[in-house]
Formats: sequence, structure tokens, C-alpha cells
Amino acid sequence: MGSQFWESSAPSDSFSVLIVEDDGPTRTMLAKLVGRTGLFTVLESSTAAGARNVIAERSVDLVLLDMGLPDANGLDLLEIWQQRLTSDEFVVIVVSGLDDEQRMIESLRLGAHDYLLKPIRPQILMAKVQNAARFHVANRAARQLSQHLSAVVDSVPDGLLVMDASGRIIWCNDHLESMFGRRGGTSTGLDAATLIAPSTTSFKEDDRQIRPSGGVLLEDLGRRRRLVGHHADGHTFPVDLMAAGLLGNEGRFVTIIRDMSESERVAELERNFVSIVSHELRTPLTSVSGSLSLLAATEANRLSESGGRMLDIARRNVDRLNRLIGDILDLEKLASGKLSVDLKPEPLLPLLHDTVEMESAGSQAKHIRIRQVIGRALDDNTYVLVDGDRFRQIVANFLSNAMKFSPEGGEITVCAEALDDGHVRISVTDHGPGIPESFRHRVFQPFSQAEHPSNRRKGGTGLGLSIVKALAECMNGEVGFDSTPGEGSTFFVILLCQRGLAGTGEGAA
Amino acid sequence: MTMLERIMVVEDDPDILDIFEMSLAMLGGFDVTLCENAREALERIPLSEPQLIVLDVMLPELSGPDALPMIRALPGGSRRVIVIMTARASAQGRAAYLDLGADEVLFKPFEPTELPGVLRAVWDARQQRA
Repeated sequence: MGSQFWESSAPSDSFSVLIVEDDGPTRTMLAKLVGRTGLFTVLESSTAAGARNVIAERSVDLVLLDMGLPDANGLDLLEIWQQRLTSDEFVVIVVSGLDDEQRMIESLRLGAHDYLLKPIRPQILMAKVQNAARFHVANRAARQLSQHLSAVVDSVPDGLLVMDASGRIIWCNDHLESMFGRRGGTSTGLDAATLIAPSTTSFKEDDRQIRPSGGVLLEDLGRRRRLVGHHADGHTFPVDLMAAGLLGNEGRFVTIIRDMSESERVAELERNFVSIVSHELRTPLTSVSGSLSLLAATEANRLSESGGRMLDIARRNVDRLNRLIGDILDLEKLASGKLSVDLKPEPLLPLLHDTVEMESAGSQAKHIRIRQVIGRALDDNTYVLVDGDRFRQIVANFLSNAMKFSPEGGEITVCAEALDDGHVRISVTDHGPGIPESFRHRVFQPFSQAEHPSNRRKGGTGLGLSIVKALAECMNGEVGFDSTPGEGSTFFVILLCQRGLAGTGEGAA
Repeated sequence: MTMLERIMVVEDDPDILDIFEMSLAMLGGFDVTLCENAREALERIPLSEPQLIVLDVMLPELSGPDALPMIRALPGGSRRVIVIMTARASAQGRAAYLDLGADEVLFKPFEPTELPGVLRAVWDARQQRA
């Protein structure tokens, strides 16, 4: 047993006994006997009215009550004190004559703890007073313990309930009822399954009509489970539930239910933080990029030469910011597993050709020639299992990198070739400066270019290749590169190739 | 084939609304009605009778997707072309808005110099289907 954590309301050294007796000598004798032990504080009263005053004014633990008082019947006093007696404020020993058996029985029924017969024998008196005192002290301690334990239970900021093995609620705390929007006391007897949304456990609606199904909440004893709570008003909310056997009570289970709405909301916010911020950035960016492009479209000819250059710089960088946000969102989706790829057999050569066509616009400014080399084993019947948009994104990224690092008038080769193991390799080769040895292990890491000052001027977001790698992996492919400093680099993606898809309809076309 | 002349834009950001106006009225030559929220749009549609409505997703009180069926329910609603505009570019989102009855989904940021052409193309495609 742990130490007592509450404050005792009555120190044990002040146990007080009130003697209510109209006959002076008897009262004095009783007071002397009780007081002699030194254990009790003795108070005296000769009338019922006087006794009521003492009880009202100070704390009394035991009353020795004579049944034949001049101003009231002892039974009436017991009735007046009914409330105090049931709440164990004090105990009463009634004192009466032998001829009074009927009243004695009635007084015990009204809550008297014991009785004494006149003439009073001192040993019996003291034995009975001490018994009553022990009873009262023990009773008061038990009541205090129980009050403090229920204060603890009601102060716990979680829902607590006790159920039987079938899931019927036997008891619950106030917090549980307020959490589920149920009025005080109405949850007892309820099937615990009513508190949980049916879809989150193996409840069967039909079963619930016949017998309680809350027993399924006991499936994982001692383990915390995330379920969906079902509020009385119909709304649902996330809860954590943990059940355990109630010590010393076979077939009874104590269950803690915690409302996780707030922590779930915070976690959700944290999970989506990057996404929320990025989307928020897009709104002002839409205004800025829209204004700049309208300015360029309608007022450019009125700008000075340097004004035009400033406008170009602003537009280029707004574009870059916009690409950066798009890349951050992609990367975040990839990291959180939220990016869904729609894998379908796509005809490789038309897909590749279209992509190169679309991306080649940027090559004209630097007079770069793009050459396409298609391996002999590949034809219109060659399919790759990819998400078309994501495939384009990979090849477009390789191409834009190749253009960035190609010299003026250089050549880029886009090559598709079948590998022996049923895969196809799509590569983009430039004749740029190549990738320095020290940088190779970080090529596919986010923002790795940022550490290379010479690359920062190239206008990329620094995320492209890390996204490409993740996208390829989503499509069961892989990426890689070969590079010789001074000669150039080749970036490639390897994907599973499907040939002759006769029967799918697409392959036959 | 009917020409696209009257466009309504529903967008709560006043700056973006300005850009829409310059793009569609100044560059595109359309008759443009601007609304800052969906309630205003619902009130003004019977008066200005737009042929095409550009509807932002994130609007105060009544969101674009919530307003869409209400716009369709107005007299002549089935003939109107509704283009949803969103800053959240995703293939799933696009499919969901199309399922909801949008004719096209465009992503922000948009290119204001190209927007008149894009909306004309959406309009023409819809006329051919009809």
C-alpha cells in the first residue's frame, strides 16, 4: 500500500464523545468513565436541544444518547440526524432501560450503532465505546479513501470505464460521458461498442441488436489502439483506447479512452506543413507572375533597355520560384508516400519523341542540336509500364540539365536501347564539363548543387534530380549517370519494357 | 458556332481578380464580370448571363466546388461552361472536379497572356461536343 496522499480531515487525537443524559449523577458518572481513559474529549448535554447545538457547532465522533430526555424522544433525534448518520459524521450508542426493547430495536433501525442497558456496567460501557470508536475511525478512513480515489478518477483527463467481458459498461467516469456527449449516468449498462464507430473494428451491426459487441474492444489487452470515437450527436473523432483486466475482478476490464482530436489536428498540420506553406506561397506568386507577364505583354515597348532587362530578370526568377514550389510539393508527396503514379503500358517511342519535341524549345537559344538514337530492337510495339506524365518529367529534367551544361552550339544525344534482361534504358548525353569526382555521390540528393557555387547560376531548383530518382523508383525503375570530366555526362533511366502487347488492344493498334 | 463573349470570374484575392480582368478584358476583349465570392456570383449570373465561369476553389463561406452544383441548377446552367481554378495541382484533384461537373480544371499560377486563348479553346471544345 502506498503512502496516504490526502489530508486527513480529523486528526485522530481529538476523538470526541458527547454524553446526552438528563439525570445529573448518571451523566457525571458516564463522563468520568469515558474521560478516564484519556483517549476521548468528553462533552455533556442534559437536553435534546443542547445536544443538537453541540452537534451543529463542532465535530463530534460518538454520541451516548439517553432515550428518555425531557424535551424530546431519542428516536426523534435519531431521525433528525439521519442524514449525518448515513454519511458517517458520528456514531450513536443509545442508552435505555430494560423495559424498552421495542424502542431499542427501532433506534438500531434508525441508524444507531449499538445500545447500552441501564443500569450501566462500566466494563460493558467502555468496551462498547471503544468498539464504536474503532468502527467510526475505520469507517471514516474508508470513506475518505473512497472520496479521494473517486476525486483522482474524476480528475484524470481521460475517459475511464469498466466493462464486463461482453462489453457492457458497468461503470465510467464523468470525463468519459462528457467526451461522448452522454448525460451523467446514462452510459452504465450501455454496450461499449456504441462509443466506437462501427467501421473501425470488427463490429457487426446485426450482432449489436442481439448482444453487446463491445467485447471486441478487449481484443488487444494492454495495447494502445487508435479507433474512431462515436459522439452521441453523431460526429466521429479519433480516440486512443487501451483495455486491461481489472485486478481482483475476473471478467471485468478497465478501459482508458483518450480523445486524440487535438493531437491529431496538430500532427496533421505538421504532416501537411510543407504542402500548406507551398500552396499559400502560390497565391501571391500568381499575382506577381501574372502582373509581370501582363507588363511584358502590354508595356514592354515603353520600357527603357535596362527596364526591360529588369523585367526579364523578375520574370525568370518568378518562374524559378514557381518551379521550386512545384518541386518541393513533388518531393514532399514522394517523401510522405502521397504521390500516386498511374502505371499503364505506354508506347515508348512516341512518348519519348513527344517529350523531346516539347523540351527542345530551350535548345534553340543556345543553338544546341538534339539527336535521337533508337536501338534496333525497339519498335512501335515496345511498351513501358509508366505514368506518362512522370516519364515526361524524368526525361525533361535530364534534357534541361543537359542544355544547362552544354556549350553554345553543342550536341545532346537522346538514346533508347533495349537491355538483355527485358529492360529498356533511356539516356541523355551532353558534352558539357562533366561532374567533378567529389560531387558524384550527391548528384541525386536534394539541393546538392547549392554547395557548388558554379552550378547555382544555372537557374535550376536543385531538386530536379532527387525527384527524378524518386519518380523512377515509384515506377519500379532506376536512375544513374556516367560522367567524364571535360567530356560530358550521360544520365539514364532504366524501366521495365513490355513487348508485343497483343491482346490488350493497345498493343495491337 | 456561338462565340465566347461573356465571362465571369469568381476569385477572392483582389489582386488576382485584377489580373484576370486585364487578361480577359484588356487582352482577350471579353465582357468580364468579376465576383469576390460565390454568393455574389449566384446573384449576378442571371443578370450578366456569362457563357463561361472561372471558379476559384478556395472561396470564403461557399467554396467553388460547393457552389458548382448551385450554379448548374440556375436557369440555363447546363449550357454554361465552368472552369475550376486551383493552386493545388494534382491529377486526382482534377479528376474529382471533372466528376463534380466542371468542364475544365486549370492550375495556378496561370499565364495571363495565354488565358484568353485557353478559355476560348475550352469553350470551342465544349461547343463541338454539344
